Amino acid sequence: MSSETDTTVIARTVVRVVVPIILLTAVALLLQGHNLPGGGFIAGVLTVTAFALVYIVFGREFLQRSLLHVEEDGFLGGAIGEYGRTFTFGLALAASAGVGSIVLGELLDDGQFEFLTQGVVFVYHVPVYHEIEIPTALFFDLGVYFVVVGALLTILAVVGRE
Amino acid sequence: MTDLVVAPLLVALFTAVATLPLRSARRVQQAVSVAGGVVYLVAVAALVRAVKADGDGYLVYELSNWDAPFGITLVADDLSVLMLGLTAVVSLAALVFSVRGIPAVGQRLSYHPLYHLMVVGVTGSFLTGDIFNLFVWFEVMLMSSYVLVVFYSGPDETRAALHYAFLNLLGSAVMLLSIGGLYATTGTLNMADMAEYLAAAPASQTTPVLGLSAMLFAVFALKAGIVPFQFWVPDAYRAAPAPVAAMLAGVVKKVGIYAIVRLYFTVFAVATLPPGPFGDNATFLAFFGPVFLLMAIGSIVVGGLGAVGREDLDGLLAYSSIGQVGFIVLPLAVAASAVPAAGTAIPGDGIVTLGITAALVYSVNHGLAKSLLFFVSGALSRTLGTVRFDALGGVSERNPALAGSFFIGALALIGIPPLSGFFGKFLVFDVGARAGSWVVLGVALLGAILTIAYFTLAWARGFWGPPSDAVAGAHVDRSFVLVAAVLAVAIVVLGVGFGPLYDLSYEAARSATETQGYVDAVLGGSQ
Amino acid sequence: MVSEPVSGTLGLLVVGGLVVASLVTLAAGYRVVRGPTTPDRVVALDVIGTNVVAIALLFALVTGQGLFVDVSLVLAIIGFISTVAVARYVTEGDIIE
Repeated sequence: MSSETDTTVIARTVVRVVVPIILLTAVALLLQGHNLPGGGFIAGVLTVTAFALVYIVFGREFLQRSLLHVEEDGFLGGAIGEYGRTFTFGLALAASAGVGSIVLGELLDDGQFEFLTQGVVFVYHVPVYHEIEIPTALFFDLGVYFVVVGALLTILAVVGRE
Repeated sequence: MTDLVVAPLLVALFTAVATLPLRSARRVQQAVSVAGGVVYLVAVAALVRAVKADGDGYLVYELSNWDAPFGITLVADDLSVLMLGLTAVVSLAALVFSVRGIPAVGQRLSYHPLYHLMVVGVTGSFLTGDIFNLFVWFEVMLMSSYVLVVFYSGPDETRAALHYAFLNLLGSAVMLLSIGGLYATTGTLNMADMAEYLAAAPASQTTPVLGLSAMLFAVFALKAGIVPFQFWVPDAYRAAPAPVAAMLAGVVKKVGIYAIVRLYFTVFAVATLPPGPFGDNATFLAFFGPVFLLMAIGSIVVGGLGAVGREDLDGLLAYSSIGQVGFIVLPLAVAASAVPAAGTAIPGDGIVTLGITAALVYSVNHGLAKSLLFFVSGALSRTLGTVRFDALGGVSERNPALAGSFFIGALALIGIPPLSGFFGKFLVFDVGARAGSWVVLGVALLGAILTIAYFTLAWARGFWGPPSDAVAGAHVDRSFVLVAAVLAVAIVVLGVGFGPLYDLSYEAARSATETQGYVDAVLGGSQ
Repeated sequence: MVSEPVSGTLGLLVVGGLVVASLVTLAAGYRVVRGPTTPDRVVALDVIGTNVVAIALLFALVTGQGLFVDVSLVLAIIGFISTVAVARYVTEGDIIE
């Protein structure tokens, strides 16, 4: 059954508008996660929600062929392989975020930083925002984000295939 | 270099991460995984050296640079590094066994990352000095072990894993509840800070802590599989792949034992009981002593009798490990009852230290011997497809090295000199005799007889006599025999040269009972 | 993200809105329990979802705490996708093609 006849034009139009909004909300929540409600987990869940909408309304074929440009699902190949690489990357990033401080302490050679030590950099005079904080916690949040996205999409893809 | 304290943790964590992207290259993945096990062993060895070289024997590491008691503190002392050493040896052996012992598809998909994450959880539990952090590491460990138990995903495995997961989730909920209560009562989560508070608090303020610590003890007993919380053990061990069962019985159980020793003998030992049946000025341990004793007796009897009636090797080993944990708790019970009144220091050569030493020596011996036996059982089940006694028989004739390793492991658990198990059992009897407790001696004797009975049965039915049809045509992979033989040699060497193990365990027991030293080491920096 | 809570007439109106939204949620709960058909329940659950979003927004106005706006936003998104998924399940009997 092809996806053209499957869903109404209303559903497809609405999804086309809604998906970018969801992704924007996800990014906003990711960036404010270090000192406000939000963070990597909920941002990842929202991103997967956007993917799930595309899955439901446009079909699995459309998402994997036209959006991700991957061919058939194999064992650890195709779309599932891509998702696996996503959460692997996320896990590596989250794990490295804590070690960064040890390495930095060694490089700077002015006192020792323990594992997981956090820091923050303020960037001033930015247009529109005026002031941006870039905390080291952001890297950990990014890692969590990729883990959640990769893992949930793997579940969606495997369950959707059966 | 205090960074050494986190080194084992980071090695295991990064090995887990590194084995994930290598799923498409099976050989490389296996090589990285085993190399990770070797590096873990090296990191633990370096940590042991550092702790031994340290002046007061406590390496304190404050995560994220937050001073204790506000941040999370990792503490490596003699007790922690002893358990870490056991973990490193058993874990490396299990990894080498897994390369051939786990089906290739399963290894590629998820086995190696999950295995290393379980090691991360175990390592964290041994190192942490924060009671809530202990809960987190327990969860890390259990989360991976749920998947590893259900690994073969047949109907039996799924049922066993469901029970295992449900019981442990229930246990985690109770644990969280009691930790929350402890935080509300004492106002701190740091173990050293809590010990300081409890030592100063009058009995009226510590009463709620008694109930909460009893609740917490039930959780640790569940993780260690002590009667009456033993019922999940046989099914879970039978369902799990052999190397995982070896880790569960050899190491993960010891996390429960470690938590009991660390929390009850270091932290809660200084709290005063409200006046009551145990007399004025008694410590919490006076209350826990009889509880430990009852549960130890229950474990030895239930485990021993259960093991005698089993029809398969896995089930026998699982019941046997219930009984052996009883042998670990038995000297702890004697030690707990012998703790002097609150406010007096625990003498270094008394029954308390000796009891904990006995429990630790027995833990190390059981960890090595039981994992060796699970490896032999796993080698047979991987080769023959079954470990039921009616299909086994005559393994000693077909494969003397494998059968010999089994024989040594069994003798170590029975306690024949000069194996390490002899000293473990000897110390248990010694502690019982010094305390003058006929109950302890009688139970230990009964347990020893039951151990001899079920291992004799296993040997006679599975390994002795003419080879059965299945055994005669089987060829056991060399790597299995190698792992089993190396562990067997290790058990013999530890037994013949028993001195170092005794010294390590004695030092560990000393550091477990020296609350003041622990508190000073952890809180010293901030005062 | 914390600002002055609303007060005066507007404050009364907002509290009144909270009461109405809560009552509607309860009424829809009755429909969820009673049914009798699946679409009835689905629509009732959707009404509950929308009302919880409204309650979160009104609560943000009452307390002046901006974080409840985030809560309502996320709830609205998840409510939307669950409605789409359930609608597809009811009409097609299958969620992903």
